[in-house]
Amino acid sequence: MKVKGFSRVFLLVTCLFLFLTVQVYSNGQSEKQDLTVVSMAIPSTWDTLMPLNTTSAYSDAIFDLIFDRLLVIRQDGSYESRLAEKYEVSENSDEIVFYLNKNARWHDGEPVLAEDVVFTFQVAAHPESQVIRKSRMVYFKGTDESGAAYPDELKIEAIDNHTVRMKLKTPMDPETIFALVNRDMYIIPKHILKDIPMNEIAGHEFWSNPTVGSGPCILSDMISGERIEMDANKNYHLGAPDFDRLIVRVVPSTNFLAGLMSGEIDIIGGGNFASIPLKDWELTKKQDNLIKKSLPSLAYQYMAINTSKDYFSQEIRQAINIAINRDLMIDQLMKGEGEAAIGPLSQSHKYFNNNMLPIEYNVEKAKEILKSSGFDTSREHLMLVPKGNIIRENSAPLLQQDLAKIGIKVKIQTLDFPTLLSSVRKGDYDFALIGSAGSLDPHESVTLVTVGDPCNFAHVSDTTLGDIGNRGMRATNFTERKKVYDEYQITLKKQVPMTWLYFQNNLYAYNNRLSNVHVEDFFANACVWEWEVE
Amino acid sequence: MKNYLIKRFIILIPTFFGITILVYIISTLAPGSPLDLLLGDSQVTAADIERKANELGLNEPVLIQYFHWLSGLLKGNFGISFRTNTPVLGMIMERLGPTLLLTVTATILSIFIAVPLGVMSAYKPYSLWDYISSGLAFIGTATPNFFVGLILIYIFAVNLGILPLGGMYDSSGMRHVSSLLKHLIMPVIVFSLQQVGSILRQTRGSVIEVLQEDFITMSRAKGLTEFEIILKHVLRNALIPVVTVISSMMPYIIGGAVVTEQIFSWPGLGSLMVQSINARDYPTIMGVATFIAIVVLLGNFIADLIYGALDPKISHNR
Amino acid sequence: MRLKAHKLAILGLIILFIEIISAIFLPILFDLDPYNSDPVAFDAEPNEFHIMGTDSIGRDVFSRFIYGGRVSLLVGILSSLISIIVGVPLGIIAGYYKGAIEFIIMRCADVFMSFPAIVLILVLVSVIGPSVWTVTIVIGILGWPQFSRLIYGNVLSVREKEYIEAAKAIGTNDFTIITKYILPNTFAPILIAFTFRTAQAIILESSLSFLGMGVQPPQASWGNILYEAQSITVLSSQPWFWLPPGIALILTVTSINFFGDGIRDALDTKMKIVGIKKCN
Repeated sequence: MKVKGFSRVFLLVTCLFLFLTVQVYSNGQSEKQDLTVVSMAIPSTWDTLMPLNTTSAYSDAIFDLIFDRLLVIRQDGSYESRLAEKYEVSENSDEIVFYLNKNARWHDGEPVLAEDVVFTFQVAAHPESQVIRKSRMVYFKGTDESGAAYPDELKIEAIDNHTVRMKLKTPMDPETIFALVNRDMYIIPKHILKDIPMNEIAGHEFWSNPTVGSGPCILSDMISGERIEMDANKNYHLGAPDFDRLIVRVVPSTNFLAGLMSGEIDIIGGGNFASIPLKDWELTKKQDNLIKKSLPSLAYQYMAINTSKDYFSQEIRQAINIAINRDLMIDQLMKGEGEAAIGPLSQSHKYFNNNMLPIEYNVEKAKEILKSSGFDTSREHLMLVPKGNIIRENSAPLLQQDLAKIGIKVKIQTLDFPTLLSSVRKGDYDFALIGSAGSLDPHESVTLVTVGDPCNFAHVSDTTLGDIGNRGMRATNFTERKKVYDEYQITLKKQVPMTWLYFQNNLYAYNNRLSNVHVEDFFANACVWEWEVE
Repeated sequence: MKNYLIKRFIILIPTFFGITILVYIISTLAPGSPLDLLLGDSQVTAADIERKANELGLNEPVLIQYFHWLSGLLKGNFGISFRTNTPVLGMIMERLGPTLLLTVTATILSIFIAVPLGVMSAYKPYSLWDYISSGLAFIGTATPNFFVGLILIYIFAVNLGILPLGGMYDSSGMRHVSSLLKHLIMPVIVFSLQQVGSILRQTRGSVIEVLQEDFITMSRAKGLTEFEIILKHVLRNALIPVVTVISSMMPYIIGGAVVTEQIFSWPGLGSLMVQSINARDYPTIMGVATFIAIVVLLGNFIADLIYGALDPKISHNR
Repeated sequence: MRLKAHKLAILGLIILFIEIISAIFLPILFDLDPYNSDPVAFDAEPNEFHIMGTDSIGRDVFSRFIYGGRVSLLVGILSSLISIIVGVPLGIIAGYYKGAIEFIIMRCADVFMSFPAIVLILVLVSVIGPSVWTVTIVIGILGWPQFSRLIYGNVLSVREKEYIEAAKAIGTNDFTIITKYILPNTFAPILIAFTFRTAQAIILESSLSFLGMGVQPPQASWGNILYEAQSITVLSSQPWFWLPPGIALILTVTSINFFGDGIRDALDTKMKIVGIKKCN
């Protein structure tokens, strides 16, 4: 009978489906294993697992687990050994020698050698490898202005099995190298990758399942876009981690607190962009099973002003600077969990100019300046606001109100970030809200104010700021650089190509079964081998 | 039957091309490009950008890019993702499993719930039973599924803590079926609401109609039990419109789980779509959209087969 | 059943009427402001100044709720009108002239219907850039196949009738035949399809806004208000924030459905409207 036949087929299909599901989607381990498992949440998926070919902070979070950098980066700006036991800087600061830890091994047992480090840098610099992080190589001798160099040109060599010498193009403060280059260079295994042609290496299938790294965790399994499961590397040269398995799960940030409360996740990872949403912070503070930390961040938000518009004279820009109620933003938008910004460096930054006065909040004075300069208060200005950061989006109406009070009418337009960038580059805007992850290196913001740079969003035409910045790059030690960058910060405050708004605190929480967790370093590394787990 | 099939197949081809053209035209309207995201990083230089642009073929004329893409497509190459540098088809295949797991489970479940309910409601119209199931059907089709998702999360995950918030498995590192099932419950409920409603109403409607036919009365007169009547006559005639409804849901089943997957962090095609849109990863966006449409096309073809098999009138009269 | 359905349809109509009147007049009556922040009240609970509290930047939630209703209703109705404007002529041309043009139009409809609605709309909106107008136009344009197919079927059944033959015989031009004889027959199905499509469009817009790809803040829509409800704090401690838009959505769509069912029962009993599909 047709119906009977049809139902039979239907039932058969259903059973087959169930059977396949169970086969594919469970791993049949029925014995209870007594393993210590830690789960870390990241808010969005990684894009690639090739360490040299991405700028994603979430991929970085994973690289930090399965690969190693040469040095650990601490929040106070100090650098400690990781793959490199120690380093030496030549007298004229144009050469750095790294001495590698002799106990470091790849997950397949092979020792980590100097040639692995050299190989990694050669791949990054090689003109045919097409990796994004090539631009980091620009400081090394032998590369062109984009950072490209063939291996025989690149002045990075292995002196012996565990020593690497890197020659710089010009003498510079080695901490710049540690902050910018070391930060992005995860060492990859030469013995596995050496025979792959350079133009294929970035897309090679090894990276779809990179089980050979040298880091504290060994990649075990993954579900694309959902989780990565790793085993602890018991032979890790800095000490075996205190857990057996680490699971990194993709969890939207709105679920962080709920996950922490229910025990589904133990800790949040992912750098600057992985915080407990501000809305949930009150509730987070009430949880007894969590350790909570509100930490100052290097990341800043600013409002770029289109200096190519002739009505935005320096005087007007300074008036705008003092008309913004930063304290209201911090108190109301961030519930006090943040710091008003005077410039791109926060007060806890090593290079912060302590002699600078905070920016005053003086609406009357600003109004006066505008009136006496004959500013056209009937004109409507365009403020571009990117999507993706709720606090920043919410700051726009407040800024709009602040500006309205002194006679500047503003219309807000919300766009997605790439479209905003292209409008800003074209100059089709008056104000734009942009942010940056900041850096331990004080030079980071100079590209924003250098004439001709693609990141010169404010269309700065005066080379003063860029010149000061470049002087800073040529200085080779902290004392000299501090002097230059102090001047940089003062000049920024005077010229106001952008008004710096705030540094938003990172709101971290993790389960109290974990201890010795240095969350303040999470912007760069999680150092999981240091953790103690119950 | 054979002619019917051939005819249906021939219609497939222009539709297939139409799909690729439509997807391609849409993608050319895009204002931004993946390069723009790179440009946001203050450390990337202009030379880097030019290099990346050439590598991705973004400097060639649009029509050429279309033909490159189409010829690749026919060989099974859906392009390389801008975001991950891996083949799009590979990414689709990784995500297809979870999506189908979710949607097929939901569909099977909705059939098991809605068809019997529909038949029962048709037998006892205007009874309490009928009102409950019609009410359910109405709510199912009228409620936006993300709202139901929020409520379920609030009740079961946040308050009672008995169901997980999202993802496919728990954090124990073991992938037990029980964990998978727990994680499936809410997404399946949310996804199937739409379907339960439609199938229920359709079943109820067609069964009511069939019950009014003469041959039913005659069967009763002949002495068949009600159950036999249901099996032999009612279902057969009622199922045809139900199959129509299900086949019209094909696009929904393959690619419509976007919102459900977002709420529950379910790593399927829908969340891949959203991630790719956020990253301006056009090869993936185009690839996923094309893939879904092609699978739907094939699915409809198969549904037509079933339709033709169930109702000989259709295959003979075409 | 007819009587019961009749009552439900009237109920639906009343609710819709109340909603539309509220959306139009309440803002004026109460001087509602959904955009400016109240600097002393961020995330406030319902009080005498803000009967539904304020959101995280101090905007009045009740105002946003009402304005959101405006947007959701407008998008729903306008986009369905656009679907009619695009879809009905195409359906008439396909059904009346047949031949190659029929083939092309129907295959185009197949192409569009091979995509899940939300996927195609997402792709388009992400490419053009999300905003109220993009969303309205895109949902509108992408709704054409439903109407086309419906009208196509309708025209096919009418064009064989004798009075059409007669009109052709005496030399009436096509345009007059279409407007005088064919079009009036389509009014009933169009009206019914319009109501159901409006309900669908409202759900589509709210889903898009919920994903962040529809109506953009600071503009409010019921969907984007619910977007904020994804935080555990809002879910557990601010039910006044997210329950109203959700319930309003359910109420609106259900009322439209009841009303549509009522019209359908009233206007025709013979014609099976098989062409309407409830897709997502």
